[in-house]
Amino acid sequence: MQPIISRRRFLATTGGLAALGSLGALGLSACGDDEEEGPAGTPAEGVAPSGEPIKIGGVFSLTGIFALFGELMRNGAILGVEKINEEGGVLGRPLELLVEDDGSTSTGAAERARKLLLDDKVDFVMGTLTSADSLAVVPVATEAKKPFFYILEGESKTCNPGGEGLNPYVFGIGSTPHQYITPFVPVLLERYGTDWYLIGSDYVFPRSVHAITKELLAQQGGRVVAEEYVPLGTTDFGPLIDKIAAAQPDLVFTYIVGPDSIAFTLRGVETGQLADIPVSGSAHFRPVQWPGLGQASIGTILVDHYSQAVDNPENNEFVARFRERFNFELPIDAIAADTYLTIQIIRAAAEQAGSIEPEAFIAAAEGLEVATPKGLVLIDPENHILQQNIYLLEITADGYKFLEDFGRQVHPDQVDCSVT
Amino acid sequence: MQAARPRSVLSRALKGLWGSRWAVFGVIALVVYPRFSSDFDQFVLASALTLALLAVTVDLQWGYTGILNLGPAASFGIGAYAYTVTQREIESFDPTYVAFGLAAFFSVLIGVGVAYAAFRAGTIPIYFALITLGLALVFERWISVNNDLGSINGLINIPRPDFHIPVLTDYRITTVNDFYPFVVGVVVACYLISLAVTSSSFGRVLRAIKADEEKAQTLGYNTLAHKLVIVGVASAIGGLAGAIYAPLTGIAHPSLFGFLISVQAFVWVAVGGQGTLIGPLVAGVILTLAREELRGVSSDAYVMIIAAMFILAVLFLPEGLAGLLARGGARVRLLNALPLGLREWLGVHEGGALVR
Amino acid sequence: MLGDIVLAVDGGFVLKQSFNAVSAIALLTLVALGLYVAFAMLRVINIAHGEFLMLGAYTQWAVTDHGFSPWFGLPAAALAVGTFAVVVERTVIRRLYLREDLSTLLATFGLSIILQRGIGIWLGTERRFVEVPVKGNFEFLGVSYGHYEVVVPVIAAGIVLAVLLLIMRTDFGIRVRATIQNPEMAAAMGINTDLMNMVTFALGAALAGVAGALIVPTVTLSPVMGVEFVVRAFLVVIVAGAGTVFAALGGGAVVGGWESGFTSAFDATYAQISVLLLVIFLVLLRPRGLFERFQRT
Repeated sequence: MQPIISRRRFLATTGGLAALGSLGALGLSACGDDEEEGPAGTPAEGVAPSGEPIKIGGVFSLTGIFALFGELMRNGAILGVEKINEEGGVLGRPLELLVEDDGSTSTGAAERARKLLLDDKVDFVMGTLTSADSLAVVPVATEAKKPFFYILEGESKTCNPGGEGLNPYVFGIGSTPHQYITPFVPVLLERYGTDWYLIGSDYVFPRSVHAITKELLAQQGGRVVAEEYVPLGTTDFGPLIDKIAAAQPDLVFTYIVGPDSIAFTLRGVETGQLADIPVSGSAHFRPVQWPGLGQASIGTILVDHYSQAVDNPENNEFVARFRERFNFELPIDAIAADTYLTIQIIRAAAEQAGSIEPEAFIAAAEGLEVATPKGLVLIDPENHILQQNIYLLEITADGYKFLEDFGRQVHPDQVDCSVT
Repeated sequence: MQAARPRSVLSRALKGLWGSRWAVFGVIALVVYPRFSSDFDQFVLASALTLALLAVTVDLQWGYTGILNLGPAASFGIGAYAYTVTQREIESFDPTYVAFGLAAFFSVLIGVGVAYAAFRAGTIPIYFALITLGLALVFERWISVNNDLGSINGLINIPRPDFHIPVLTDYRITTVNDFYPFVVGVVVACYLISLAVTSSSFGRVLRAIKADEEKAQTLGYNTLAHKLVIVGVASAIGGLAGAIYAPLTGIAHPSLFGFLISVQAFVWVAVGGQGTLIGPLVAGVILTLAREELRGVSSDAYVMIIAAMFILAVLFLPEGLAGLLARGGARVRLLNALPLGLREWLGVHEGGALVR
Repeated sequence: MLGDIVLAVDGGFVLKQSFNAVSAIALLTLVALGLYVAFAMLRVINIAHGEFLMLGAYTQWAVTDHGFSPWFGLPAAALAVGTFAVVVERTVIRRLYLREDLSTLLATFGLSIILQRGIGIWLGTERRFVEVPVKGNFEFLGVSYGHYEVVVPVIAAGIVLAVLLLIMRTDFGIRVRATIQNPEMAAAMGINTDLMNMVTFALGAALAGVAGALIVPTVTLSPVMGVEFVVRAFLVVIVAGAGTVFAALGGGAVVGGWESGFTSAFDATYAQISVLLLVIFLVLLRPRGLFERFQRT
């Protein structure tokens, strides 16, 4: 019975942290709402920034079903602003972070972004979790002509409606399926075999991931045994797992996302049907899910564009500060690092441009290279999606082990842009 | 009581509007609001008014006629998607008119179609409520997986209305603030139409159906036709509201069919008062603006308070706040506190009774 | 080994899929039974039934989290939710029995939102998981079955059977049915109808509570988990119609069987859509429920 108790402890720890976080959310949104409040960080050593603060609006899912994600994203952004303000701000001016909660809905995201842009007159907007949330903010930021940085990985959202050309105001911080599936498929083929069972949550992102997967498999001698999607919020994974067990594939390649992924993995472990069938993916196993499925997924390999195990000075500083500032002990998810480094990118581009005027800022940002916790990234002038390194990781008993650096990956032109 | 002399719908509507001078205050407040508010406040009020139109459709069906359509969001969502798809696909002609027309058309088609099938089959009210709820759910699930309709990502890039009549006018909505006067106009128009419908002899039959449908039938009224007409009017208004909401917020999303949109409309009707029309509108506007003011508190706590108010309204105020104000002691005290001149203009006697 | 398309050809697989269907039906009937009891007997349309299930699931989580046996969690959940339902009945539902409209539906609407948000504020909105009480699995005709996968439908069916016996075969059941058929007459014969109403409502809620505690190890625990279940349970009630409790069994078989079969054969998303359409269609055909001939007249 010993392992059971340790897992209970684990769940209890997460619960406590979440409670702490929601207290923080109340405090912060209260000052975020008040325009009279000062910047989020207090200047320490060095030249203290002065003058009118540069406002960054953050749209995060602080309540609702994605509250755990939103909290990490907000915390990353807070840390980023604090760090930059300690280091003298941007163009000598302090940064101010204004946080709004979208309640985990895309209509909420559009409305909150509008509030930040119309009422608070922010200079930049960042945040949003799901593709739907990001897409909802795109037209709002475009109309206000202010740069918008969406955080999460997924299909490109930087094109104009209909996929024509580049929308100058939108920047993609997370990676796209093209960037991380391309180096991943050969590794999986070599390690596990050719017959793949593709599963995913039933919406756009998993379907577009698997479209790319199928293309790569066809080129490289792999075979799709079956492809199946389950509705978001599925509670009973028994039938799906039965079908997988009956098909006996060499590999289950999964893009089941969110808490559903944990329900799937635990059900598979419980019935023993997936004991001999390897399972891999990326979003399914992201660190934010680790408390739920980490111990049940030891030995799984996955790809991500960030890991706390990436060894560079920026990341070592970020990890140390994040753990201390938020008393955080779990594996750190890419979404926290990505909001943090978005602030770094804003500073780099603004200082390069010598201005935060959107036109000059955007021109300076294009092609800019910035040292960040996830490595040296380059803002692709063709599509505004970060050219970034992709890492191969393995789940172990105490977190994510670094296996291999696939090097910097480029998203090709504007393929699979989801702005329709 | 003498048989009512035929009067034009317009004159009756105007008289109705004048009769409730509170509504005049409301319209004046809406017209001057932009002078005292920020761009975002206007956007918030415009979206609240649009959603409040959905509450009016609930009031027409449930409050006046006793038809419990638990999925009013179905008409809202159908309107939003019909508008969006039409505006995106039709290039020639004047897409705005076609889009609004089709939004109302499809909403009426489906709303009345389902109601007809259900009423003809003799569905009991509880089942009708659950069928309509199920229908909204079917739409939400189906669009969530339909890639042509944007699936769960929703559709963005929604062209805004452009009311073009050659030579005469070209009222083009280019910024989000241009919506405000348009929304106010549509809401006032829909309110007047609803008022005309419900204050006519037709409206009296609706109330008779609510009180006792069999008795109304015995008196010779075609209750099925009356019920279908009011479902049709409500569906048209709901469809139009959805067709405004999509370009206003810039996104057509499966959640527009969702339970939360429907629930919200019911809360506004229950709190504002069923069978009053103005009650749900006012409740919707006040509760939305309050939410904006209380934003920093906690949205979960806010929603809990609203839900508790809803339960209390169901338990103790079957006629809502408007019902309370229309006769209760609170109204008397409120009115007696007003200056004498204002009271006279409002037609209020000492003691709070209304002079008509 | 298999072709490009996985076909359900071997016997073990077909048996497992049939087992899944039976299991889904037993579970769904248990979830819907409490809702049905409140609806058919008290005319209470309890939208918060899903939240009663959610409260039962959280009770099980609390029980196991404190190191107690999950088997203790089942009666604990029934007791906790049943007690809570007594409070709800005394404060809210009781005031609404006499109203002919659908006030109970609206009031429980509000209650369900309060419970969802309240639990979210109190315990957090993040998803949690409860350990499976009996681990391990066995193989039958080449297909693996989890032990708890088998335990769930057996317990569910057992509870459903017990409730049917309670209502059809006991003194208490007779009094409940008498109260429902003719409250005035029952009161004249010395039955405390007020108490009967309260007990019946609490029984329905306790069933939801025990269902929540039973299934929580196989699903994700969250404040909004009840919504998925209450939608299906309502479909069962609609199909069943307001007849005897046996109609609930029929409703459970139609809805649970259809969705499970459709999911096995085709696709889970369209299974959900098709079951909704099926029910709408059935109601238009049989507006008083598919099993109305079981109805007392």
